[in-house]
Amino acid sequence: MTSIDNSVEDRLEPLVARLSARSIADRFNPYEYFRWPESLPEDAFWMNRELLTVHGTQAETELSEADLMRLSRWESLHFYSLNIHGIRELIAEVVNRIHTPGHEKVSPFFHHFLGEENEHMWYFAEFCRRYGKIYPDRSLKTSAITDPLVANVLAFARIQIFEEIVDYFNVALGKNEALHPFIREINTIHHRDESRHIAFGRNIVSVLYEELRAKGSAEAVREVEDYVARYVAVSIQSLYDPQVYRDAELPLNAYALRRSLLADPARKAVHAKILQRPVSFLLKQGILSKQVDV
Amino acid sequence: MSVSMTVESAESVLVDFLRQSAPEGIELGPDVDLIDQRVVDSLGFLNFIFMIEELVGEPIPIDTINVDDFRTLRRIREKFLAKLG
Repeated sequence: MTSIDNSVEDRLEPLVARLSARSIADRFNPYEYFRWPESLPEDAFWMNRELLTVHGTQAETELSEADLMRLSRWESLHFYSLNIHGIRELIAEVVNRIHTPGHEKVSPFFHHFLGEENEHMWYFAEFCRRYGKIYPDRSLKTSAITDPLVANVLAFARIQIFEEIVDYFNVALGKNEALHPFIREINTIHHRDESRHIAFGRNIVSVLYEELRAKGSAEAVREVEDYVARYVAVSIQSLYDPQVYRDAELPLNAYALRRSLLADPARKAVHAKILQRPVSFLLKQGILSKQVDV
Repeated sequence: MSVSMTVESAESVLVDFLRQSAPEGIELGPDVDLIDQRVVDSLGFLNFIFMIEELVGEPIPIDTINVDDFRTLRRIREKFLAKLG
């Protein structure tokens, strides 16, 4: 359906070989590996305090320690749910491309990517099912993008942005010695696989964008920038969910809280920190011409 | 926000919200297809849902409804805003 120019594709072959070898070397069986605790303590933080959507705001000072612990539980379940739904999307994009014309050279790594992402989705879903619930996917599926060059860039740009935002959380959660060891472990393991996927994602976005610049119209290039900037902003906004605030039984109006948090300058600084790596990459590639205001 | 809302005032807030994302030249009449006309797209949908929920003061059970319920202002009024009475 969509194709990568052969000369562009050749450049990815050594990377594909290297990453595939690393995938094989790091292979493990998550279905057997994890020792799932019967339960996780409710009177403890499930997420770093600094990762909570209220951190640094007036709302945080109005909440009790118990409120914040409950919030950390439901925000972590929501975060893993976003992972599940994001992974479903990216698996679909890769499944639609594997072993199709133009994608021959990258397909060997697509197999590892699909296998690993399927496992990530399984263990995040298992976590949510065992210790709370899976928040539903509230996204709208539309297929407004018809230019295959644009669709290709956006498919992999979405994957790269999503994975880098998730990785920011995985690294912080994995390092936090105050968290339950199982929470640390599941995030550390996810980070290990994601480092390969991020390396692949950056490279494929780079070559696909180069192809778009060479063959696409100025309008197509603008369309990609507009979409990517909005996708970055929406990815951050989706972390703030009124249902989570209700589940955590916060003594505040869930919608007003969401609006006030998203408008809070303290949160904008946090967003900039979360987005620092992916947005720097997008700026360096020229995909974005300016910072995203979110 | 929903405490003193009427159907009309809620619809007016919603129209103002949609104007921010409406492509140039789109008049937000009651039967305009908001999705086909790209007033609401995949990236704007989440904030759109949250806006409707805030107006009516309760969550929308997204698993029991379909996208056609959000296509036009008329349908949104019938399906969601009407409960404001």
